[in-house]
Amino acid sequence: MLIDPFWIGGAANDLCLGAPGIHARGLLCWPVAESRQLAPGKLASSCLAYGTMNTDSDLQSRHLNDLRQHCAEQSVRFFQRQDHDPRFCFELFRRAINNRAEDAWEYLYQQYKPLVAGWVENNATFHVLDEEREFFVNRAFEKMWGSISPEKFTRFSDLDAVLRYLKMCVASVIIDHARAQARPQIENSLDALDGEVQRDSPDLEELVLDRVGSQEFWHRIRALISNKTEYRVLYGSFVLGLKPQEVLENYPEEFNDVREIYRVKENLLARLRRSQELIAYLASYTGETL
Amino acid sequence: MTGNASEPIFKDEQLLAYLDGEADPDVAAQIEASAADKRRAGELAGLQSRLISRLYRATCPDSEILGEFHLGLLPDQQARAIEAHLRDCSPCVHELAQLRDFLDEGGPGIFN
Repeated sequence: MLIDPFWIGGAANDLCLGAPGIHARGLLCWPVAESRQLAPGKLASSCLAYGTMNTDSDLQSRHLNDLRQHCAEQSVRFFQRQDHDPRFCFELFRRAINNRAEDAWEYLYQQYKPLVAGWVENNATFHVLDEEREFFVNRAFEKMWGSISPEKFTRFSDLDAVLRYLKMCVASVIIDHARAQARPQIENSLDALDGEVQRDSPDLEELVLDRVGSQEFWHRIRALISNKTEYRVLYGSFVLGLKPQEVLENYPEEFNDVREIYRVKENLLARLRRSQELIAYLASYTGETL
Repeated sequence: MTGNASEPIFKDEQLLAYLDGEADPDVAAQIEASAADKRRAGELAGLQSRLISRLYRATCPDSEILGEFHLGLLPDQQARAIEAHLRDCSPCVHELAQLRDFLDEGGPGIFN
């Protein structure tokens, strides 16, 4: 049975500098807000002591509803920047991940959705994207659910580490969306004239490219280049989506001027278009004859 | 120069510069007056678009791998591969900086 924690004085706090966890003399440390000392939103590691410690096995044997109730109570204290016990919520995360317990996960989703929504709002990139906040909240939970294995979960020592990973997932899904949004912008800038063109026959550029795995395709193309200069132009132009002037700015020591990059690019495109090896590969991959 | 020739007047490298808005204004005007050059420029635009569509960020790690790299959760070998990739990939360097700033803003702790 958990006994309500009470504050220990500053001397005890000194013992708790560093990573949260169980320290000497049975002190349990985790981040709690010290509103008198820190600006809103800041945390510091402080210590709480318990007359009776809950062991891992105590927590693991608790019923889910019991954990939920304690997690909810302690989360209220957490959000009010009061001292709190994070281990109930941590146990829920552990149970959700290790046991793939969807009921535990659903509870955690409801519990932490407001926190995650706040993180989304605080992400500068979110405000230039074209999706609603809830979209990223849901994707972040989905990403965490899909990314953390029981083995990986053993790397998390406490709730702070788990929530830090969840916050990383927020940044990750926003970056994913920004990446996806950047691609068509680059394509559209190149397609300005494309609509005017009547193609007369399927050739390499028609290529069924969408049916070929990007990385496999990259390795096939990379095998056709002969030196570092070509690699820079190929990688910069099509993997990074840079224009020749931008390639020059990224690698000024490797090119004399931007015209050199255009010449290399012309040669590269011509080689790709006439590569029998690439055409044969694409034909065999798709079953089509080019 | 005429605008009715069946063969393009300009070399591909000049047409590529034209597509990027980098061509000399006189050259750009001649390209726009030439059906063959416009057609060829369009073909090049289409080819580049398709290559980018397939290859854009094809070699980049997933964003959560960048995040796990920042959090120190990756095995050594995978972390070294990410370090090597970062030497050549400015978008990933930028994204990693975004991740770092976002995760660390306001100092350590989950209330940030």
